[in-house]
Amino acid sequence: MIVVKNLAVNKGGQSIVRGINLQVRPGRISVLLGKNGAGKSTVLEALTGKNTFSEGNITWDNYPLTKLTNQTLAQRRAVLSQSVTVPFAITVQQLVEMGTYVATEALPNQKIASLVEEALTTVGLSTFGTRNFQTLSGGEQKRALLAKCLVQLNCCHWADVNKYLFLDEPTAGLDMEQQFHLLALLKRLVRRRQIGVLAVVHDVNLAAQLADELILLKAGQIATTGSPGEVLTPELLQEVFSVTARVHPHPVLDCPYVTLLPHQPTAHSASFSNSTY
Amino acid sequence: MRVPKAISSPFTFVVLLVLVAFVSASLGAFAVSGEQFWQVLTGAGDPTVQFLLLEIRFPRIVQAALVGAGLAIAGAAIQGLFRNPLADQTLIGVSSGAMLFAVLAIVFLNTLLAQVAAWLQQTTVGIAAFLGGLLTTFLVYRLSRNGRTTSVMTMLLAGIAISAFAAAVTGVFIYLSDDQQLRDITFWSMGSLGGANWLQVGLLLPLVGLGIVGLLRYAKPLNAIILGESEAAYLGIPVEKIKARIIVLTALIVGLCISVSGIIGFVGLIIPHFLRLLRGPDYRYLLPASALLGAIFLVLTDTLARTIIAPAELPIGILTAVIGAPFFLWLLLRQRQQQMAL
Repeated sequence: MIVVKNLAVNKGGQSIVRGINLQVRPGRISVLLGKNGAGKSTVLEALTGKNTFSEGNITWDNYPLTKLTNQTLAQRRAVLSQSVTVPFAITVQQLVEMGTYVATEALPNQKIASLVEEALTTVGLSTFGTRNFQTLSGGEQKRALLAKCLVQLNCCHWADVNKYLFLDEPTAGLDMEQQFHLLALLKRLVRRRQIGVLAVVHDVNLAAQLADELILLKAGQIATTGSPGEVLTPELLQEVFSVTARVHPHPVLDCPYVTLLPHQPTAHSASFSNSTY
Repeated sequence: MRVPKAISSPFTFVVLLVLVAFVSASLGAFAVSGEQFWQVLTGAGDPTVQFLLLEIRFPRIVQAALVGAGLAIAGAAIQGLFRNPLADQTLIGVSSGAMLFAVLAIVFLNTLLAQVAAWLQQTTVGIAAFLGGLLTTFLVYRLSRNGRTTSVMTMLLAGIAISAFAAAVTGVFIYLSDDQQLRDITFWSMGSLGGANWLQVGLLLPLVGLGIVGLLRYAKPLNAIILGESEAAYLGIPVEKIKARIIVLTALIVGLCISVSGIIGFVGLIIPHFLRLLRGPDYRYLLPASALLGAIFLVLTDTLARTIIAPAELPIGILTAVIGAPFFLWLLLRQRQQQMAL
């Protein structure tokens, strides 16, 4: 379990987030939700070890994050970035294989090949191995990157070590079908492998479908935490997103569904109609 | 480009390098026949031919191979680090720094050391160039350091600024130089392997060799850096450490190469680029293959340089540019056509 206590991050003398307490548990998906600039990515990056934090502490299965080396960290968690630009024409195979770079010992070629193939099959790209990554569509690129994360998590096996996956906007730029498949795939993986997931998601309804636990951020602080059913109420949506919304039960899935209503902007909300253009 | 893997394999390159070396040794202002060649190799034969091969051509070929290998592998590594196929070692300031210090040495020291033997003057210029290369690279690296990270973007810009400044100071000293010095400077800046001897090779071989072996160890990190520095860090690569080491190794290799051969352009740019088109950008292939193909390329070019207008010699830097620039354009146009076809 990853435990975050009283986390604060300052950048350039400005406080970005503060007083963050949260947990990422194996086999569960936590989703950070909030307006642009609320500090979602900052929290995610602090937990991945990418950015340093100013206050508080983060422990990974009882080890302080700051004591873990880059490599140890990489063997325990993978990060699916929002987008990756590649200046050279690498093949999908080569990209996915990079997941094995976290292995301390040299893996036999056969093992590498089977890890790559398994991951590509899982994300539905089994015939894409020799394709140039640059020529893939946005959705295909995202799935290839996810395959790399899977290889990274699969290539070092310890029975007693928890694995974590961090997702930065996993569904951004995907069409409806791809979004649906990706969410289903992530949920399956988490249940089967008992991976702990922390994700940043912009779309409230996708977040509701994906999350076991929603963490609502407002102006660098946690507004509330709970299951999608508990958190997604018209009052909290008004408070955090400054929108008037109606919340229904999802017709099929066991989660709430949010529809926005036309509304008059309040004095506090910075909406486009209030601006000078 | 589809080429059978056997042709572009490092093993083929090794065989090719040996072949090219022997062909090169037999060609020149004085052609050596196969028979004479064999006699010298078995320890017999005409003493003149023996001297020519053992003391002049062989060290020169080994030196050409080393310089070619060093420049090409350094180019490949820098392109990976900067994530830019158009980058080469000039970006980290090593060439302009070497040039400035070589010019300083030619203008000042050679006046002071005028009485001293020519080889000592040459050595002084070489050492000065090496130190200049390292110094400017260090300066560029320090300028781009911000706390515990180094921005590659800042390095690129700092490299351009420092290079421009070095070039300006170089210009001042060129202006101050006399006719003989001006000639020396001009020829130095066009590169030559004419001064090769076993002493130089003896110094160069272990140092450049170690540098190359050192760079070969960073194939995987360079692959990961293709995805960007933060992605590489997510994969457990200690990016800052790797960056520093690759810069030190490239500066060493390129500084050493320049110190014995003057400025030879285009090798670090076209060799990795060509190989990338052939086999893709996997650094586990690209680094060793660049070193080998760079060696082959420079041995060939140097052979051409000393035979094309024999008994005189063309500066090798002119030839690498004359061959390299059109070839590079051809690669670019080809690549564009392929992209349009997709």
